[in-house]
Amino acid sequence: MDSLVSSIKIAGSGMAAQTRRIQVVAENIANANSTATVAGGDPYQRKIISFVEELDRKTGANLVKTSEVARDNSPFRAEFDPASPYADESGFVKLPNVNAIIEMADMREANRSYEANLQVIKQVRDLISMSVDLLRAT
Amino acid sequence: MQSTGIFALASQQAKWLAVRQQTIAENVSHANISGYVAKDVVPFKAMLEPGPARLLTTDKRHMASVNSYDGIALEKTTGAGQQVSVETEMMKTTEVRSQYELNTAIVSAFHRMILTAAKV
Repeated sequence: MDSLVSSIKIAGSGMAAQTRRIQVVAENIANANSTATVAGGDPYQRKIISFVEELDRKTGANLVKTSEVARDNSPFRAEFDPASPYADESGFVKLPNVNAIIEMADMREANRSYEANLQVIKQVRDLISMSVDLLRAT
Repeated sequence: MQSTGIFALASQQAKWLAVRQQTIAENVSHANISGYVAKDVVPFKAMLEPGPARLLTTDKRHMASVNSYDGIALEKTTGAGQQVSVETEMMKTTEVRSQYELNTAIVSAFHRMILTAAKV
């Protein structure tokens, strides 16, 4: 039973990690067009998170957690718009290095992983209830 | 009573299945970690045979060995740089489920038999 309980814990940590990933995707998509607030300044820089293993000392199970948010260092997009108050001297406005298609793909993958973890939890619940059913009078 | 052996065997298999389920949960939740190596338990048959000696955990604070859960040894199933296949894990999940169902059904069947004998 102990292994079954820690399975739920592991799958739960996986779901929490995927939720955090979707949150970061949402932040990136929402800020896909956020420019700097000063002329010629740097716009929103795409956020990246990765997953790392974490040993749960109480149960000895390997959980998942998300790392600190890192920033994508790829170059910004530049748009020629001399009328914009945020343009630099040559008339270019820097736009965030967010690619909506990559974000969508990331979101899909997070979704799929979340569902897989959910299936594991459902299954473990069924296994536990099978054991409990042994106590029921037939 | 000869049937008591079957209860010991059934509880041993239930424990093995629970540990297998735990490795599946771990593989699925770690599927997105780059460089993660998937694992599985050793076959149940190997558990019944006397294996190599292992370190005994006599205290709760002893660190659990990475290569075993609850005294059941684990083995790696994917090579380095190979991704975890969620589909394979789901397949293993179904296997665990049907074996667990069989296990609990056998236990309750034997329990019924004992009850029948005890009633007389």
